Amino acid sequence: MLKDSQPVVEIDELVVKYGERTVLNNITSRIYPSEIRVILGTSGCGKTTLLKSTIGLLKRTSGKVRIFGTLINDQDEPQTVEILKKVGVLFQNGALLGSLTVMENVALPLQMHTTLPEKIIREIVKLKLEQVDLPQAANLYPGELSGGMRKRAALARALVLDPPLLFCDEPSAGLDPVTSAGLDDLLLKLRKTLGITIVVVTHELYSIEKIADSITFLHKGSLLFEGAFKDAMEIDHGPIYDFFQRRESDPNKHHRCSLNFNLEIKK
Amino acid sequence: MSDQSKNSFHTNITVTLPMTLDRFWIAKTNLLSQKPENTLIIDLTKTTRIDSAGYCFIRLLHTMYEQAGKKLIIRNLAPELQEPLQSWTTTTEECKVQPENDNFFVRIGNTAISFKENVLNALSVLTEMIYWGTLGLFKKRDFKRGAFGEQMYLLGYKAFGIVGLLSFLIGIVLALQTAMQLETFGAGIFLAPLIGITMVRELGPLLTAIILAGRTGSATTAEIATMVVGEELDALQTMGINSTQYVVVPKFWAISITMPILSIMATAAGIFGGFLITVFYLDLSSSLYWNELAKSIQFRDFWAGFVKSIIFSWLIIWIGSFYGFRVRGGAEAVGKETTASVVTGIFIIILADALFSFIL
Repeated sequence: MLKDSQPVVEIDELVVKYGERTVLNNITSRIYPSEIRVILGTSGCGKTTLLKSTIGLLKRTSGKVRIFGTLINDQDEPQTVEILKKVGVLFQNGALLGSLTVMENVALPLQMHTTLPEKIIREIVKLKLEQVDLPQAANLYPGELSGGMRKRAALARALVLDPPLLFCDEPSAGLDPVTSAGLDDLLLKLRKTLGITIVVVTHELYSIEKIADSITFLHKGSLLFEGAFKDAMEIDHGPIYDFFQRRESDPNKHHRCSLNFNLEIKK
Repeated sequence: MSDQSKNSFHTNITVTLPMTLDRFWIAKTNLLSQKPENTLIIDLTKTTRIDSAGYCFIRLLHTMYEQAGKKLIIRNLAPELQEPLQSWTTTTEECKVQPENDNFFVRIGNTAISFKENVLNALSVLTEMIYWGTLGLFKKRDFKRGAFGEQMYLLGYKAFGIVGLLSFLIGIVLALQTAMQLETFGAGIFLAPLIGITMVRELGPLLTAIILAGRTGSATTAEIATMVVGEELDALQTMGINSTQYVVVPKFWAISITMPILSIMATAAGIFGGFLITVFYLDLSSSLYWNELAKSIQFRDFWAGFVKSIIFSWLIIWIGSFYGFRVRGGAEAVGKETTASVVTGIFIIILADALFSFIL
């Protein structure tokens, strides 16, 4: 989108290893203001790991990450905490605090980071729940919500401090097409009205086509492509092509026979 | 089901397989356990349906005969069954599992490394708990309003009944057993100092600590572990909320304050139990009991009990949190860590109590 401006997220030569296994191999990426960036790739290619190591939840083996120009290191460093207040994160399963109601969950960041009076906080929470179309669930506990409701409540919590940057980890995984389309619309609306930068990890083709401005394509832990979505659609071979064509890269994978049976077929 | 016929000239065995070659038939056959000695012909004239177990059975049989250098002939396979038989192959690449090194020294080394890691992790949990519970409070306060009061209620007030009742009963049992012995020497009056000093110095703090290790320690581990598993702690971190301060610090302060109170209450309940035995079993006057008690207990004893109860309370929260943060995996891991937390908690408390007996 605004490629001339300073990137919101800068990832340089990021390597993440779990023991001996390299999960992310030398990833360098830039995410620009007000764009919707979709991180995609097949299952197990390191999408969630990239997201988590970007916001400092996972230990990086090497490499640097800057968000809004600030180096993200230790979670407890004051400057990291300040930056994290400007970042909303929607986790795959919502990650709502089970001991608090939806209202209390959404209010938590406001109570921790602001000195607003309780009255205003309640009003903001109501507004956010309204935005995610969940006003009726304010006094329910996360355990009483359906998967889609839980995700929307978590989105309300991620948005409650009006962060300029939002990370979503598989927002539509496990949701029905209607709810998932609703979430996509909501993300588009948020970008339009608040101008926020959104990073979405997903592999739902329909969702990608609808919301992505640009994509980061990971394949087996390496970055294969980063750029505009329409450019990615023009690639006519390799894993990216296979991905968008819903094609298995090796169609004969399941049809190899290593045994030579002595066979006589019935006439 | 199957008929076997042996042809002595060709040393071939023919087995006719059933109409449905499925897991029920395979469970009964002994073909896989027989050593391949001759050529085996499996006749599928009758067979019209094969399930997954059936295909795997034929594949295994084939591999078995191939390895033994014998022949397996599949006869009269229905054409529609040929494709799945040839294409439903299992992968030949087995999962490469690192071979476990059974070398004695390697095992000792690995144990030492994991022990070192555990000790370092435990110390890091301890320093985080102490820092964010004291100096860190001047920097920020990442817990909910009212969290401290709520924890006082849950950890302290709710344990009041059980701690009081158990201490009272232990006081009675201890007094009764001792009274019987003392009475034979006509020394019943020494029951008062005995019960007093034992309860104040030892049993009051120890009993409270053991009950709280089971109650609070397990609850702390289970709560933190569930939060780890459900990514709740990750969510807190991304909201810029320090998870130690949010979860552990309110409990740390709540137990530091309620534990000595509970311990004093437990002591009182135990002493009261002793009083009942003195008055109703030994038939001594109540004023004598209280006088003897007051004479025997010194400030030093109170101090020892107080210091112990505070240290025990920190041990409970420390061990509870350590096992909670350590969890990896799912629901089963939560249960495992909770059990480990209670067992270790009680063990460490009794160990610490033994050490205190020399120091205080």
